[in-house]
Amino acid sequence: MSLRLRTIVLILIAGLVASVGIAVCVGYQTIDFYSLQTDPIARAVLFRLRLPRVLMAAIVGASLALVGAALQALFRNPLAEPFTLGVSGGASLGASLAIALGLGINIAGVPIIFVAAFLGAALSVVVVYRLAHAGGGVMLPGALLLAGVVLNLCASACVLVIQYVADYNRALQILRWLIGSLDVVGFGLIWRMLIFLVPGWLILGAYARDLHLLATGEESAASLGVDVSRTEKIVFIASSLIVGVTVSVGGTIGFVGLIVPHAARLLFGQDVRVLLPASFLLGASFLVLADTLARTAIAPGELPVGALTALLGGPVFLLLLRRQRRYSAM
Amino acid sequence: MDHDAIVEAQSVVFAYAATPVVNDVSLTVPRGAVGALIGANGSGKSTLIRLLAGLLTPSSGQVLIDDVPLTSIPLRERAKRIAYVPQSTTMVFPFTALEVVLTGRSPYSGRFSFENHDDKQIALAALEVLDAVHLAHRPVTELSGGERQLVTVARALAQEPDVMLLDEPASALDLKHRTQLARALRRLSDERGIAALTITHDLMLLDSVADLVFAMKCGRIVAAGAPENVLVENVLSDVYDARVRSERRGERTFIWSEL
Repeated sequence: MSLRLRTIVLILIAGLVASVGIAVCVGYQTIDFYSLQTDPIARAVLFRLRLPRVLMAAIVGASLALVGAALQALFRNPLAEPFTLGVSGGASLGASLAIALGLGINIAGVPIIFVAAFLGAALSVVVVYRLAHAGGGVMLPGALLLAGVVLNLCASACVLVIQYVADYNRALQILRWLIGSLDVVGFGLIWRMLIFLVPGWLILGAYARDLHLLATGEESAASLGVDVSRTEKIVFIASSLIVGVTVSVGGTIGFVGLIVPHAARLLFGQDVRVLLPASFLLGASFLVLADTLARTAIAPGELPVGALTALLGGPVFLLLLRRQRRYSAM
Repeated sequence: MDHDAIVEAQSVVFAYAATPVVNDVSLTVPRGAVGALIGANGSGKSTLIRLLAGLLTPSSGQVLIDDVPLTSIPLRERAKRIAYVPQSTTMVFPFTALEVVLTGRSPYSGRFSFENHDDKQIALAALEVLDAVHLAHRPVTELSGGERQLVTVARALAQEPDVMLLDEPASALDLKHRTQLARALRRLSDERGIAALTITHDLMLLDSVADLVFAMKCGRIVAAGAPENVLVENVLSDVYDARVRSERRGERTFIWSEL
């Protein structure tokens, strides 16, 4: 690891620790750290509610930002991310289908909803990829995003139909789930998520070099020793896994995978081997802070964090679209 | 089999659809030789170069590097031996030129390591050869077509390959850089024994640079040999399907087409 990367990682870890510190301290229930030893309610608020939620935000934010950075390099498209490519939409569809069919159960400790969301995400990736490479040529960046938007629309149409057909209780369950929330009680769900997420993270990390070369061009990467189709497959599987799991827990949280890698680019340059770890850590801090804002802005009420990231991300996306010329000067 | 052979194609056939784009092509570029591949647009030159680079796999026939089939060499080992310069590169992200050239060193470094000081020196030297050091810290997305071509060639040089395959590397270069590139290729062949094969439409510069010229038409090689034997009126007129005139003046061949 180069000295520069090590410095960046250390700074970002310090930032993450600070964000987590702020998030733990701030909330509707103020936590009095002196009474923790005596007051069981304060302990419960901290360890059963506040801390798991902050950790969940960090995990989801890191995951989405990492996948965003990886997909941008893979598709050579600065506007690619799980949400804009329709991967989140596919995952929602899979998860909704699972809820509607009453599959909210675990098999061997694996929530079926994870599997369904993963399959939905994987399906979207395959469709987008097939479209992007139709006829052997590489698709124009705009067309790729259009395909993603249409996929999202189709997926949400299907979700609506499922909701309509499903019985009242399950429809409500789907709706609540769709809005998405990082609310968890205890650490059980977090451990179960990590079983799937950690391998996904590690795989993407291991392919950082190949993604870096791919970001400079597919043919160049191939002539520099990258097995392009294998790398694509593995990155797709890892990304679908990560997006599937995060979406099936937190709902659709859009634009984190767009905003964070771009912030990392502005701060640290284009090297994908730096961008992946930087986006991961920055994404964690970002969503921890965004979620803190979401749960305190209108306390005791709560904003859906997905709505908040979309409100922030939408304008950033448009700004980037306007600057697209700088990215694809060809 | 030529004992001095470094790149060799043996009866290579390739088809995207039903009709072969490259049809039963055999050629050899020996160590230390610069070869030029000429022919009309759509005659299969780029496909042939890609086949030699291992980016495409022939449907029959095979490509050999030092008598070893290309398909049996692992990809990263291959990248240390063969460098490929594509016709045009779309750069989406504003990498600096130096970052792009440094990717040429990646076959030599491990999965998790970054390029070291030596790699950086090699990359800068590659830019230096092409008189392009001043581009090092500029974003590639802001470079002109010709400047970007120089960066791509520099990346190939940084790979320190035994074989360089170039797909119209000079198409967007000005006269000065064209000459510089030709001179660099010549020197690499003479000094390091690199075998180079380059696609070109610039027939005038050929006989001072190339040792061998391969002329392609409809997926086949119709003429091969020393420049003075291939760059003659009847061969060129056939290859380009136009009335081409050529004239030798001293060491140089002058070529033009009649309207």
